[in-house]
Parts: sequence; structure tokens; C-alpha cells
Amino acid sequence: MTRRRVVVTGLGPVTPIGIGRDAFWAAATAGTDASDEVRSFDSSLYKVHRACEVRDFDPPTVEGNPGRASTLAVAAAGLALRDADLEPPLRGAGVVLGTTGGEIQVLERLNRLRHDSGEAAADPAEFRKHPCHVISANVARHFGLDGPNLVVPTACAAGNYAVAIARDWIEAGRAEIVLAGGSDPLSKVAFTGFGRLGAIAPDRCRPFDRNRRGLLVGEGAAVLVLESLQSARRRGARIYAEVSGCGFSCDAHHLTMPHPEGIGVRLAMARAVEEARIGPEDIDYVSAHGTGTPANDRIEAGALRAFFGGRVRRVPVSSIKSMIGHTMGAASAIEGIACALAIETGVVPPTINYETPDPDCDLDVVPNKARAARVDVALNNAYAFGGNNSCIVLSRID
Amino acid sequence: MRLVITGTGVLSTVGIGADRAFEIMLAGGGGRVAADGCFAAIPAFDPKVFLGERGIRHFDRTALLLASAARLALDSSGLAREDYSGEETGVVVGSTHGSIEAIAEFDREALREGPKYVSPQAFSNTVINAPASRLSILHQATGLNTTLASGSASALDALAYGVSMLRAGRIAMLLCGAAIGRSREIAAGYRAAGKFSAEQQASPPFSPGRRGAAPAEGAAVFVIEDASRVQARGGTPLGVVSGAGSAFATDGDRHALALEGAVRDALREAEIAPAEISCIVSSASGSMEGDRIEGEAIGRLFGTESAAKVPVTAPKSMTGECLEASAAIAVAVSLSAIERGAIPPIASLEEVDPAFSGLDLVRGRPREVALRHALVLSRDDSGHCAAALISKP
Repeated sequence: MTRRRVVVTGLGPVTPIGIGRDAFWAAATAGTDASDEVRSFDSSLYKVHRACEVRDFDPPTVEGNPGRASTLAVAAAGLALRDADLEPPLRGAGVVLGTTGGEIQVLERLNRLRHDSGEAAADPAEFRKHPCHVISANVARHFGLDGPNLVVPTACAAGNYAVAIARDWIEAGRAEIVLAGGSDPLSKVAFTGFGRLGAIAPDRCRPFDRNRRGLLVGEGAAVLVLESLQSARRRGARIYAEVSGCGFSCDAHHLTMPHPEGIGVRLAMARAVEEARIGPEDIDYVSAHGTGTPANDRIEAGALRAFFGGRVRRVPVSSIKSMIGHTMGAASAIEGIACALAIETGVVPPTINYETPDPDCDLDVVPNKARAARVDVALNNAYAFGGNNSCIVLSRID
Repeated sequence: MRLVITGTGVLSTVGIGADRAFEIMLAGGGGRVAADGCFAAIPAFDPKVFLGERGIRHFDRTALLLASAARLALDSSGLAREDYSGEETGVVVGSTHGSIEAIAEFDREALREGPKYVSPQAFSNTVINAPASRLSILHQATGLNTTLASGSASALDALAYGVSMLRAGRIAMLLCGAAIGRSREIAAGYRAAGKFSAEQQASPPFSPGRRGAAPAEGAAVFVIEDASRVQARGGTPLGVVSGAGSAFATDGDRHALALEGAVRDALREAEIAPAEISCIVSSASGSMEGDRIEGEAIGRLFGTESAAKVPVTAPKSMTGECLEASAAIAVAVSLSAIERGAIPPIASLEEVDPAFSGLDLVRGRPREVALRHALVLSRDDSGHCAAALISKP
């Protein structure tokens, strides 16, 4: 039996640099920096104060008045459906979304009310809006999508996991169309934790730069419409790319630190290209995990060196986290959209804020300016706390 | 590819260890554990007994329960460490709440002490995939690590996904399960939202005037492998994962339909007919609406006449509502029932809601019957439904 091929036919990014395909891509290829003083909460007690928030977001009205992870995801799903020229409701269509903290703001708000004004100030029933599986349920109910439905809380690699699960569902014939992506609102918990680990940059995010000082916490959502090739062709849909390979691994090393030799990262990349039945030499662009922390970027660069061998300097590798910050569970979904658009438009987005090369990260990071380049095959890397590694290959379809 | 379960580890308020818990269930026990902060805790749970003292310092309660269940499962599988460490082993966990108490406490500590004084180690427990990842670290399982969330259906979705990873050849050995540790956040939140009974004790599932479930700790983990591999190493299969399915209800009226759809997917995958099902392990919890949905779905599957011929049990009558872990415990119950040829009764169920008079609810004492295929049901108020068929090896 031949495998059913799965393609991307719709893109819905809701990001700190732009909402919707065109606004996002115009900003990404212009090298827009979203970093700013955090407004979601009072940061005066922190050592660092900058984040990447989605401003000018008018949350859609969603039944039950859910939290921001859900409204961001509903907005992204609506954009993706429109971009795919699909009119909901869609019988049998699935939804699978990744997240790191889920509706963490719901919990933070309950805690804040209790801390400031006492136990009675908070309505404990609001807790029902917190558990993360409500996010995909809210999207499915809002648009009438009654196919398979899941949330994948695999932290900062979750968007790629979701795309891979969607592809598996379509391959197995469980659905023809699946909305896959990720969502995370700005998390004070993440800001606090990364801040305590000293992992947040004081000013800007500088992936692969010798003077990089950390990540910036971001927020956002992204949804990709995945569809069987047959279904896409039947309805004459625009096809951005094929999801041609997915690779996973687990560092099994440390909960918050990556494996020093990047063993898991290498394994995930190798598995992704093996599944795509290509070799490293076929890859034209890498969307790096590229958080901007000293350890991640050094280890990822080393893994890319081992993966590409002598060709490593000739492959453009960029991190859009330099522009939008680390949008957690949404990150690899947004980066997947960037890969699809690089294939579609022949432009690769830059790594901005890049000033000083780091010999440990000797890569072509597409410094500061987008570049015209034909991209037939893109590799999207995503790694997470817990050593949950996931890599996805997107390919131009003939 | 025939995928078989070769190891089972269970911790619940009924008992620790799959066999022991099942013995108590057969005797009609369980369901009477005193609630601690309105969330029933496993009595005398000492993680050191299962995990030793090293490498678990930063584990929260949920991770400790998960890792302990995994330890029991690996022990019962007869595998040696070199058999389950490495690139061929995947860990797949169903978890919707993660380490919820640790997440909430991290945030509270930042409010109380100031963000500069929180513990960086505590931060690592705030990601929902922390318990699953800790399991991989403990056993050096580097093949794959995935956490999936669909509320009380999480464990069966994890099982279906894990099994699909085995079939796809991405891994050759699977550690799969779920756990939930006691949580005041959950108990207070869901009670206020009407998901749980306002009383300390849950109502028996399928009883008239039932007023909701009561939350309890629980964990179950399974070792799953390809049958030919098990045969080659001389292992003993406890059960076959012969089919799994899931579906989503976009509104309450379609919930029973969705649950039925999940079962039909599982039956199709297993290539068996409804009439071949020997027992239903229901996720009925004593919730007015939830139990109604289960009853309706069972009725739709079998038709009025045949439904009366399939014995139905409900482990939540004994274990309480173990949320994401509940369906994993239900799978363990189905394995024990297959092995022992006995179905535990629904504890404390004296009077049956007339709406369920068409069902064969196992009451009073265990039903002794040879089981071929057990159907495990799970659903969540969110609309997530999942089903699995566990068969005699």
C-alpha cells in the first residue's frame, strides 16, 4: 500500500510581528523586531523586562469565554481556513494543537486574585477553563470540526508534534483535513522561570551571535491546514508544500538542559530526512530552533555541523525567534509556516540582531536581511524541555 | 503486527499493584478512601519503595506516581534494563493537567516571595510534559517522548498513538500510561464547576439521583511490544491491543454518537463485531450526564436486545475519578479480568437508574466468565471520546 501524501494548503499565523499570512511574511522578511517592554503583567520585580507580545489582537468571541490560548488558536484557525479556501463547518476534519502552558493565564489570574484580595476573590469554577485540552476543543466547537481532536503538550517542540500527528491521521485515513498548530499566551510562569534560570535576554534576542544572552518569552498561535494530496487536488487548492518527513527523539538527559553533544537533536534530524527519503544534501533551508540561549545555539550548531558535514556553511539557517521571541508551543508551528512560505515565495527570512559571529556557531544564519533563494526542501527543528526533540521536513510538490 | 501488553503497573486508592488492586475490586472493595483536601490520596504511598532514593529529588507527586507505575510495569514484563533503554524505546503519556500542583505552587511562590526567589528546579515541573520526560530520563529511553491531552480520554489516546508509533516502526518498545497526583486546585475547581460531587463520597455510577464523581489519585503504565519479539525473548503477553479509536463531540447532543463512533473505529481496526465483545469497562463515574452518555452509546452499539447480554463494569465506582489516569486503570482492569476470567462488580451500586435497565450491570459480586475481547470506554466533558479493545492473547 502506498502512503497517502499529506500537503499544507492553508496558513494562519497570529504572531507578535503580524497577524495573517501576508502581514506575518512581510514583517518576517523585513526583519521586524517585536521585542518590547512587557505589558501583560507588571515586571517591576524582575531583573529583565522585555518580551514579544501579540499587540493589536482583537480576540474573537468564543462561546464560554475561554482563555487567551483558545482565542489565539481560534483566530489562527479562522485565518488558516480562509487561506485554504475552506468554509466551516467541516465534517470529519480534525484538530491537533501543541502547547507549553495551555491556558496558563487562567491559573495565573486565579492566583493573582487570591494573593491580592483573599481566597474569596476568585471564582474557583474558572479553573475549568485551565486544563490544556480545552484549546483544541474550543477550536473544534467554534468551527464545527468533529474529526479527531487532541492537544499535544510537549512544550516548545509541540507545534511540530502536532503537524506530525495530523499527518499520521491523514495517512491512516482517519481524516482528510486536519488543522494542526500550536498556541501559547504570554506566560508569567515561563517568564519567571526562564528569568530565574538567567535565560532571558535583557534587550534583544540574538540567536547564534557571540554576544547572545538568552531568549525572549513570546506569545502567539499558528495553524496549518493539512490535507491529503488527493483532497487538495480534487478541490483545486493551492498547495504550499508536502509534509514529507517527521523525526523524533528524546535526550533523556536533563529536564531543562539540552544534551551537551546534541545526540537527540541529531537523531531527530536523521530520522526526519530518512522518512522523507532524502539526504542532508537535499535540504535548502533550515528553520533553526535557535532560541538565543548560549547552550541551545551552540549545541544546535554543532548538531547541524555533524548533520551537514562540509556543506554546513552553504545551507541558510535562520531563527525567526530573533524577531518574534520564543512563542513556546506555537513556535514550531509559526516556524513551519515560515518554511512553507520560504518554499512558496523563494525568500528565506533572516536572523536579526546578528552582529558578532561566534566560532561555535559557524553557520550561514542569513544575517539581518532576508535573502532570495530557491527552497525546495526545508527542515524545521524544534526542541523542548524534557529533551523532547522533533524535526519536520517540508518539500515543494511537483 | 500484533501488539501485546507484557507489563502492567497500577497504583490506585484501591490498592498498589495490578493483581492486588484487582483482588480488592473483585471483593467489591474500594471507593471508601478518606479524601485528603477532597482529593483521595493513595494510602501509604512511598515512592522510595519503587524508585529508590536517587534521581527523584525534583519529581512532583504526579511524576512519582507515573514512575512508580512504570517500575511495576517493567518488573512485571521480565525485561532487563538493557532491553528497554535506548533509541528503540518510546514513552507516551496521557496528561491534561501535568504536575498541576507544582505549576500552581511555582506561580504562588513567585507572588509570595518575589520572582527572584523562586526555585529554578521547581520551574522544570511547570511544563506539562515533565512527568513523561522524567520517565525517559530515568530509563534512558531516547526513542521518542510524547505527552497527549484529551481530559479523561487522554490515556486511551496515548495508547492509540503509542501503538501507531510501534506500527510505523518509529519505536520497537513502548512505555505508555498516565498518572494524576492529588491536587487541591483540581478538587476545588471542578467541584465549584459542578464536575465533581459536592459531597465527600461519589455517587455509584448508574445509580438514580447520582450527584457526581469524586477525584482520586491513580496511575497505570504498560509495556507494549510486538508479539514476535515477545515470543523470541520468551516473554508472556497479558493482552493484545487489538483496536483503538477516538472521536470528538462538537456539542452535548452528539456526545453519545461520538463515543459510539470511537468504538466503531476500534472495532474496525480490530476486525471484530460488537457481538464478539465479552465485557465493557465503562468510564461511568456517577455523573448524571456522563453516565447517561455511556448508557446511550452502549445502547446504540448493541441495540436494545443485545445490550442486555454484555456485562458492564465501572472501575470508577472503586477507584474514584482519576482523570487522565482513569482510562489507563480501566485497561489494567480489562487485562486482569481477561486473565482471571472474572469481572469486578460496580461497587456500592444497589439501586439502578431505570434509564439503564436495559444494561447488564455487574452488581453485588464478580461475574465469572471467560473473556475474549474487553471494550474500554473513556470520555471527557470537553467532548473527547476514546475507546480501546483489549483481547485475550
